[in-house]
Amino acid sequence: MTPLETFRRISQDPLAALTEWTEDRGLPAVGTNCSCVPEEIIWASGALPFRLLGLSLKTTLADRHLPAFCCSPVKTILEDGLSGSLRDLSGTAFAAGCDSMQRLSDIWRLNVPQGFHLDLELPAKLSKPASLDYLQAVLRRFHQDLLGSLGLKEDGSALPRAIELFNELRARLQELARLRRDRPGCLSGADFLAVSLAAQVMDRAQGITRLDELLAGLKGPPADEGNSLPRLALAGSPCLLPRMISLIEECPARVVADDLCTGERFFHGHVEETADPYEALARRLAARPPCPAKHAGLEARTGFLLQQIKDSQAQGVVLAALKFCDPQGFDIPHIQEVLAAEGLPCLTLELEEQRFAEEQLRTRCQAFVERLEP
Amino acid sequence: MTQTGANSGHGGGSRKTRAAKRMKEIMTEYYLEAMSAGDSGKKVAWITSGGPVEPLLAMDVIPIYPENHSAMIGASKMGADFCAQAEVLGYPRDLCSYARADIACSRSGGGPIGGLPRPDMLICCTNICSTVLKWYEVQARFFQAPLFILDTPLCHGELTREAEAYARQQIDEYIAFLEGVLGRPFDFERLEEVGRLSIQAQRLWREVLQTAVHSPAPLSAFDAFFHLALIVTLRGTQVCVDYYGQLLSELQKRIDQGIGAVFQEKYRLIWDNLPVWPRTKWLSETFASRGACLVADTYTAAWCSTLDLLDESDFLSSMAGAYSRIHLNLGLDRMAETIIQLLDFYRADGLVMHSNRSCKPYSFGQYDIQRLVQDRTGLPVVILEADMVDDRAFAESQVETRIEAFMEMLEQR
Repeated sequence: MTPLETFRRISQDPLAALTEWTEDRGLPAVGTNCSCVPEEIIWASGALPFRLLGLSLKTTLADRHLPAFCCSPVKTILEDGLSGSLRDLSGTAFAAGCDSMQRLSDIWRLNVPQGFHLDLELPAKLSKPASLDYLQAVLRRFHQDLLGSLGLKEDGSALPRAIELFNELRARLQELARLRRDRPGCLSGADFLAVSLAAQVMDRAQGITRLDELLAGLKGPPADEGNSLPRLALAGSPCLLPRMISLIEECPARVVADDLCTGERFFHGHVEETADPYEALARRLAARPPCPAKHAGLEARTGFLLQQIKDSQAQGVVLAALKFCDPQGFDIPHIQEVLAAEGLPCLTLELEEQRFAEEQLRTRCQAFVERLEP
Repeated sequence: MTQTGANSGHGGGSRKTRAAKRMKEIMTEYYLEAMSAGDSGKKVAWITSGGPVEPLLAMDVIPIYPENHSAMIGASKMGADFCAQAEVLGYPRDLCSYARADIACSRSGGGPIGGLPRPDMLICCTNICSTVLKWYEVQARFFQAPLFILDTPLCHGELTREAEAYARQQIDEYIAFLEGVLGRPFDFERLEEVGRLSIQAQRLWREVLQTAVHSPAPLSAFDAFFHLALIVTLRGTQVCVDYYGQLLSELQKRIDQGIGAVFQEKYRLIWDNLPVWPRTKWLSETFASRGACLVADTYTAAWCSTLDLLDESDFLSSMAGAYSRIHLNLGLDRMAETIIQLLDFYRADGLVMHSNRSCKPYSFGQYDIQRLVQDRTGLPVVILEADMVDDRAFAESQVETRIEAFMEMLEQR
């Protein structure tokens, strides 16, 4: 199997990767709800960090706990928990995010029987020194609670080793992101997303090896890769939809950058390896491109997006907001305004992951791409 | 929080209080003073309803509550129009209707009191939701006013030592922020006095609400929605203490005379979530006409729920723990516990839950709370789907059918 096929397979069936880790190797795995959960701490505790992506296509069980005005990630993650499809997890770690995710954490704790459940009550404000101190304290507590839940004792060298490993993983994903900017045709946007999603659920050491192989293969001589097609940046709510990205690219166009917590935001930055590990982890989390549910200054998010657009020479932005995603909903008008002031075209889409009107979306994307300069 | 609350008359039998007249006078004076802040040299701060107002009062800053104003917009049946205006500005229809109404009114003006005075600063406390964080970001950009965020992480279990220390540290940041914006040192002595008055007002507010333990209850939750305005906006002032003192003595007279808020009270119910402001009168009448009095609610009770955590001798430090532990900043099982305590304390016959499209932290998990409450108490629960301001989300016949079925269930018990 080629490295790309491995990433595609894992992103399409993350549960197989989970089973392989827990059953074949007999090791624990911990579900995480958000890219803000410090995966290094889970890895250092001997467990696989497994991002809960919301895999269910129907939400019959979750609908008994959540009203209709709830976003699809929250509903599908709960459905996965209630249906038993995540029974291989030893427990879950939920980071404080938006209101919906915070209530999901409570509903999960009260209703999903398997494993332990830990809350990381992270700060929402990331722009002040007090927040950084508090964030460090939360990470320390989380590590102790996690070790206690797994019945393990602390190994002083495990966290620095895990930080090194995750830095290596991030460095490779960042290289892949650079590659799609420089030669956007070398890897489709859907495949880029597949790699990023797989890297949040698979054995990370294996992930590094397969990424090395993938990168080596992509560095070959450039073919006619469609590098001259219109270049787009993608921003918005968590995206799990390779098909949506394919539709954009079929217009034709190329996604050359993203501001998604399942994409570049997930692997952004580097954890300082010589500092106190908790402080270093906290610094990376606070310095990441801000999740819309966090506050890092009034222009932090648009500033990051504009920088990305500049670096990637994107000609326009697709702003994909999930229905009922409040943090995203509040940001939309301001992002549109900032982009308009910069003369950057923007297509805003409202999506529900289980109800994906493909043809309608295709028409809108095509009309948008036609507006862009060749 | 409304000029046209329950006391403006329930066909079902609720009675007006004399204090209600005084409330209107106080709120008129308050808004007039705020509107003329520019002339008097006073500064105006917009603040979230769960935010610590006391430091503002200690520094003679006029606190303004956009949530209160949005409630007025809802009660004046202007909510749908303002919310639709926000949608034209690009804000999705699924966002909080308090925020949508406020954002739209800030831009277009108008509304029941002609809009709010421009803020010199914004104070946002996340103890009621994360939505306020985004809402206040929007308004800070629009008004180009400095924004202070008091970040109080949700306590899924107990409030951790670290979270309390974090909140305490931010109280110091808040004070430094005020000193920076106002250009003068913080008045700690004045804060002690404001803190004392705030505690006194909260104590009186609790006594006011607890008068409903009597049968018949001298006030209903719909009355409480109306009388809430002062404990939200002016706690920490003498006028607030005097007002609730007056109201309490009126209610005590009603108790002595056996006068109930609802004529011939037959059933006692608890309300959960924010009011449906455009429909408080209709809901009040619908319940009252069936002999049901909503004797208490989780919403208005939140403004005295952490009273016991406040310390008059060290108000500044005790604020951190108290403001972190309000009802909406707790885990679902703790919220259910509060409801069970209310049902027990007020000897209620059932629970009415408003599934509020605008408020996800209040509404997500209500099905679980319903189950927890029913398992523990065996009492019937009804969930009504609506919205606190945007009455496009209110289907009258559907809500009426649910209430009728619920009342039949109560009758059969």
